[in-house]
Amino acid sequence: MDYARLNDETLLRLIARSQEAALSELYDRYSRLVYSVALNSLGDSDRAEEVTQDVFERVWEKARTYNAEQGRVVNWLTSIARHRSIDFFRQTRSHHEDLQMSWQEAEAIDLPDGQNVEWEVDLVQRQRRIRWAVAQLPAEQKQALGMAFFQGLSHPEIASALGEPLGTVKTRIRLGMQKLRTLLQDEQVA
Amino acid sequence: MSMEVENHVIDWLPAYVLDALTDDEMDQVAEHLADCQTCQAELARIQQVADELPLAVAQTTPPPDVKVKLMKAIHTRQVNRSASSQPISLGQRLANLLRTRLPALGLAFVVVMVLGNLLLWRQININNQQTSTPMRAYALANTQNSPGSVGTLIMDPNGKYGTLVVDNLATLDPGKQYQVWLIKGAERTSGGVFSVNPDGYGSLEILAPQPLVQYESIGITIEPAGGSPSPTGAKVLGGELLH
Repeated sequence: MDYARLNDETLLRLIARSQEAALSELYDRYSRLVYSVALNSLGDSDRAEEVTQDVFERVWEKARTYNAEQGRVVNWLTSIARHRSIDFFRQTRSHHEDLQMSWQEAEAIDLPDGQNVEWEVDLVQRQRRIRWAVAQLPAEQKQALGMAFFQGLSHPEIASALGEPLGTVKTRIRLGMQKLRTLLQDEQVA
Repeated sequence: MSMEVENHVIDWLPAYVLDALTDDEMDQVAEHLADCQTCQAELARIQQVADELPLAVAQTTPPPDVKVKLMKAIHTRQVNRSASSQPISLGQRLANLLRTRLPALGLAFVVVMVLGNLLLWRQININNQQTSTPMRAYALANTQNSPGSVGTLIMDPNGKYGTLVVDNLATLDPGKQYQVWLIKGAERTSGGVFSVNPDGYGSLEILAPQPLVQYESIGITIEPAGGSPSPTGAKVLGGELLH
C-alpha cells in the first residue's frame, strides 16, 4: 500500500486500526509543523521533542475520536500540539519575556520535491496565505498574538511581560486578529 | 476596548479563541455565545483564523531519533496490548480472584486444580499424540547484504500469530531500522519494525492485519527508522511460508 498517496483522513482511519506504517506517514507529513509549534511555545528543543513524541502518541491512542466535521486533520494535530506545549510551558514557566516568536516571513514557498500530492499542495497554499497575512501586521501586534497563541498567556500576563498598559495589549490582539480575518477573507475572494 | 457592541461580545472573540481572557471574562463570553447566533457565526470565522496561525511559524525539522523513539513506544504498546487482550480462561479468572481476594482459599484451589490436571494430563496426553498440532518454525535465508545472519519465524498452531527471532544482523545507524514484510502476490504488508542489540540479536512479535498463515512469504529490509510504507532498502533475510 502506498501510504504517501492516502489523504490525512484515511491515514487516521488506518491508525485507528493500529497500522504503524500509517502513523509513520502522518509523522513524516506533519512532524515539522508539530515540532515547530512546540519549539515556538517552549523555546527549548528538548522539551519540543518531548511534546512532538507525545502528540503523535496521543494521535495513536485517540485516532478513533477524530471527527472530520470538526476540522481538518492538520488543525487537529496543531491544536493538540499547541495545548500540550502550553501545558508544558505553564508547568515550567520559563522566562517568556525572553522568548522570541519566529513568524515565518512571507517568502515564496516552493512545493517540496516529490509527488506533490493533494495534501502537500493544500498545505503549501495555506502556509503561503497565512504567512502573507501575518507579514502585513505591525510588529507589536504579531508579538502580542504570538505570546497569546503559542504561550497561552492572558492579556494581563502579556501586559506585564511587555511593560505595556493592559488596554494597549487588548487592542493589539483584537486588531491583529480582525485584520488577519479581513486579509484572509479578501484573499480568498480574490 | 468596549466589551460589547449592541450587547454582543464580538470585540472579545479574538482574545476568546486565543484563551487570552481572564476566567471571569471567558465565562461571560461563553454565557453570551450560548444564546447568540450572531456571535456564534463570528466566532466560527475568527476560529478559522486561529486554526491557521500554526502554519505561519518558521518550521524546523525534529531530530531523527524522535521518530525512532515514537515508533518504538508505539510498537511496544501494541505488543503489550496484544498480549493483554488474549482471552483468559474461566479457570484463570477464578484463580486470579481467589489469589487476590482470598489467598488461603486460592492456594487450596490451586492445589486441587494441580491434582486434577495431573490426573487429566495422562489421558489428554494420549489423545494429543494423535491430534495436537505443533508450533511451526520457518527458517529464513540470508542474502548477500547480510552474510552470516540467521532468522526464524515461529508461528502458533493456528497460523494466526508469529514471533520473529534474528541473530548476527548488523547494528544499524540510529536513523535506520529493520522492517518485516509479509508478502502475498504483489502486495507487501508491514509486520513491524525492530532493531538488534550490539550482538546482532533481536526479536519481534509480528502484527499483521490478517492471520500470518494467509501470507506466502516474508522478507526483512533495512528502512528509515519507524518504517516505510513499502520496501525501499536492502533485503537482509527472507523465506517462504509454505503451509
